Amino acid sequence: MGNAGTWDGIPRLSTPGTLLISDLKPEIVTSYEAGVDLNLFKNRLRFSGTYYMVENRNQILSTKLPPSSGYSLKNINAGLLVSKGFEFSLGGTVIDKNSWRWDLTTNLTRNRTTIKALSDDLPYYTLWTDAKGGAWTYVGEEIGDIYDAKIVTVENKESPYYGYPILDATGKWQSIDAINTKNKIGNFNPKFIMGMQTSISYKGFSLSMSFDWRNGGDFVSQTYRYGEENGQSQLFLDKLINPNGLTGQALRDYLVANQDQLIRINGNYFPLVGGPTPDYGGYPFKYGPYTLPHGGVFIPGVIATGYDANGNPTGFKENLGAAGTAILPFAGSTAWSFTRAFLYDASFLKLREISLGYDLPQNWLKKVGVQSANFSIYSRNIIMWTAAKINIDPENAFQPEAGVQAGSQFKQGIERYNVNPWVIPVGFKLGLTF
Amino acid sequence: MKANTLKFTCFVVLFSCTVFSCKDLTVLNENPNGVNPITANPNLVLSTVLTEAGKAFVNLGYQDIAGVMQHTQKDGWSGGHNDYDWGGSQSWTGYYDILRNNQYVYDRGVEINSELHQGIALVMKSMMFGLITDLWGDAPYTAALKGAVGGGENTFPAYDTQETIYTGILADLEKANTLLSKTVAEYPITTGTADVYYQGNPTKWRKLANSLALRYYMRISAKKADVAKAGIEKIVGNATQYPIITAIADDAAMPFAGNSNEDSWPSNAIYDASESNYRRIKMAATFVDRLLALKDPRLGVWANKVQIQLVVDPLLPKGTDRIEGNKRYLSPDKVVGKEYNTNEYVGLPTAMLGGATYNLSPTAEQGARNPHVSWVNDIYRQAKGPLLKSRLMSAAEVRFILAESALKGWAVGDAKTHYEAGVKASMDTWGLTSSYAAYIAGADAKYNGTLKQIIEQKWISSWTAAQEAWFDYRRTGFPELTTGPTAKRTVLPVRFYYMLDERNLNKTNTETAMNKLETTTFSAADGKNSPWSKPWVVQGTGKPW
Repeated sequence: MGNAGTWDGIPRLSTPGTLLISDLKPEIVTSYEAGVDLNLFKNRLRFSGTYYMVENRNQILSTKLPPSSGYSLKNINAGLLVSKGFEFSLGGTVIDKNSWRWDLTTNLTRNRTTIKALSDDLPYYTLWTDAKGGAWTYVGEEIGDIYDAKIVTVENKESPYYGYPILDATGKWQSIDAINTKNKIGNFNPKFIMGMQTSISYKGFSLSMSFDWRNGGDFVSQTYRYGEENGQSQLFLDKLINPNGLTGQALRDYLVANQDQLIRINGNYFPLVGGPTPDYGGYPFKYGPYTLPHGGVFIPGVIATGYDANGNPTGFKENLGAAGTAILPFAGSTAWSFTRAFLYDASFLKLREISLGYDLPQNWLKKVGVQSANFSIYSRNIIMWTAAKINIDPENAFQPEAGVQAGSQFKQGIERYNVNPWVIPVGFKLGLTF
Repeated sequence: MKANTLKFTCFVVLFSCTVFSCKDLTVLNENPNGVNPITANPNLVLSTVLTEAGKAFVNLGYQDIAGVMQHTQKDGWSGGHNDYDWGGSQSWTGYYDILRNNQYVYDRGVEINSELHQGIALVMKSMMFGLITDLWGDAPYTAALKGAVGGGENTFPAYDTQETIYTGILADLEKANTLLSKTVAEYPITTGTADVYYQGNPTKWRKLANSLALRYYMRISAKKADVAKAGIEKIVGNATQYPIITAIADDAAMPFAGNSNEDSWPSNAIYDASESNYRRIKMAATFVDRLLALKDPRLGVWANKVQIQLVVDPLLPKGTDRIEGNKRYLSPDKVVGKEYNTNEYVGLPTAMLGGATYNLSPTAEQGARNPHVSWVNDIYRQAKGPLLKSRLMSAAEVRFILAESALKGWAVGDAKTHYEAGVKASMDTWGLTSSYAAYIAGADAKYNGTLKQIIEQKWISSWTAAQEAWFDYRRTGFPELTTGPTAKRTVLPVRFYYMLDERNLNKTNTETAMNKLETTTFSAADGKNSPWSKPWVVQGTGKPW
């Protein structure tokens, strides 16, 4: 039994809330692999390809239970996880004459893991929950899926307000939580990863470079989530819609004319009109006993005028800047409650390493008793291009986890303050062989 | 030859080792560093059940439900407290954890033949399941807590109806009344110090069992009036067979140890050096204004006076705004168009936007040191104290239940007598015995024969145990509370959201339960599982709204 700490010197014990497995089964891994290795044209063209499938049965995982069962966690022999993927590599010597030589190698990998079955009819396995959403995988679906609360919008396609957010009476977004809607917003695994290494040499000189390209996948940036909530995000300020002097009906018509950009939520963009200062077109608003001259915003959308007994709205009132629009304080009007607002494309291209070298001439090396000598100058991390353009390295999209489930140390696909100054090391290397 | 002998000896030694270790494999399964659950003294777990339950109740009654019932309001991080912004999911994991431990105490009580432990465990089971069904409605009850057995029906427990749960609770309390009817000496083992409520006194536990029965009979009185009437009359009609709590010495109340944040009064300022958790709780205007009107001396025990009182004086020269001593003098032009309150005690209005700015606060910071609003009394800064208790059931509550029963015309005595005894019990509890006579003679406190007045006094006496006032409000519509501008809906909620893990992992059963909730026009975008959807206990009663 667990120790629950003493109470004024009285010992307290607690029965365990985690169920262990009484009939533990061994984990069985079956893997299949097929591959080809080709070296053609006197080794000038090199190809290798592998396709694999790994079936992982009875993996021991700790999973959640409904707490009313008296237990919150249970160790299970997890059922069946299937990973499939391929690795291709194509390389060659493109040029090899007149002392010129150019080698090029590329490789391409992709992996997908699917949960085929979970023991005890458990519907899904949770990797992590954070930032109001989380990464969990339903049976039959892929590891890495990210889910979020669904924002309440007008779903009737006939309605002129189709796709508009339905705001609550105070003018804020409303949500239906993640599980009820199965609202998948992304997956943290890449579609594929491609690498390229190239080297060009002429006489004693050589230039080599190594590139990595990650295509697809998403990550959640809590750095921006917290930054936005704390009023420290320039990106957030830049996204605010400035009414530019438009008011009332004119503003409403302008928003409606551009509804796809300015009213409907689009990807991770949650429209907000106004801002903190007059420059942003901030609105006056009442805060406690004070009426503040600016610093107000409003969320473009509609407010339900009433609901029927099934919770369906019976009518709408526009919240688009005309009289009666609900003005909110700028602070606290962020999309804090939605993971989706902080979901970014994790694709990137990096020049990981570049080096320029020179082999010192053999003839005078021999005089000093050295077999060969190479001098090179190299650098790393020279270029990073990211699809998200938010100055966060998608490779840092992992976050330490406090209450560890399944022994994982990091949550994948989410980062919080995992930002370090960009370091570009430059080095010199002298290699001598005696 | 010598080598062969050695080999043979080795073989024998190895062989015997193998045999013996096989034989006693179960011994290896025992954890030498822990207490064996098969033989443990149930008191070791009873202490956990009682202390965790005590903490659970006060965390409702002094925190978010005190916000709902407008005892207090927060001026920082206030969404859950003031606005009922409960994030669509409210966990009952802690309650079922207590119940799992409690089940162990009961089972061990049966094994060691201790009716005392069985009786206490049944009372605690009733109290915790009572809380769960009061908060959520239908909930796993008969099928709950069996996860260790395995199998689908135990891993994913079916929900019982709220009606079934109340019926089960009342039956368990009847059983407990019998189990707890002996003297201490007649039980094989005592609870020792593990019983932090009653130090193992079976008579007091028995009184608690019957008092809780009164509570749950009254709870269902609008739905099953005959059952409630018969039940309450049965208990009151036979004080020997069914003793109840009538003296405050018998109150179920848990003092705090105050040795760490874990065993201290919630939101104290001893283990939270920033005091932020203490400071963000302010008295609610609804409560303060009512207590002032009643000239209620309890206000001074529960609340601090404002640190700096506002004085608005037309004789002051224009532009005056200065602080002298503990007064801030303002000329009328400085307060034009601003809401202000010049009382000694000032509560925060319900669910107001920018609560931190209220009453000319010098700063709008969250949970700020606003000197112009009443903070909760300094005693609540402490980690422990004679008045700092988790109050689970009190003589005052019992008296008010009886007053209400009498008002309904049930044979339980005189309504006025019970009402006055209830007010007196509360005054005694808070050390105000001497103020009682003058108070009860006051215009508004003097018995006037209305349910509204009885429930209002019950609401006042439920300070730091506001959950009971919430359940009364839901049933009676009293006190007539309204909400404020930042609240999620224009009326008070009537239940909690079912939590995500249940809706997810125990999907079919939870959906069945959700479908039995009655959606209202206030359920709005939440749908079935809304705090504004009505559970069975208020369905068809037209209450509270």
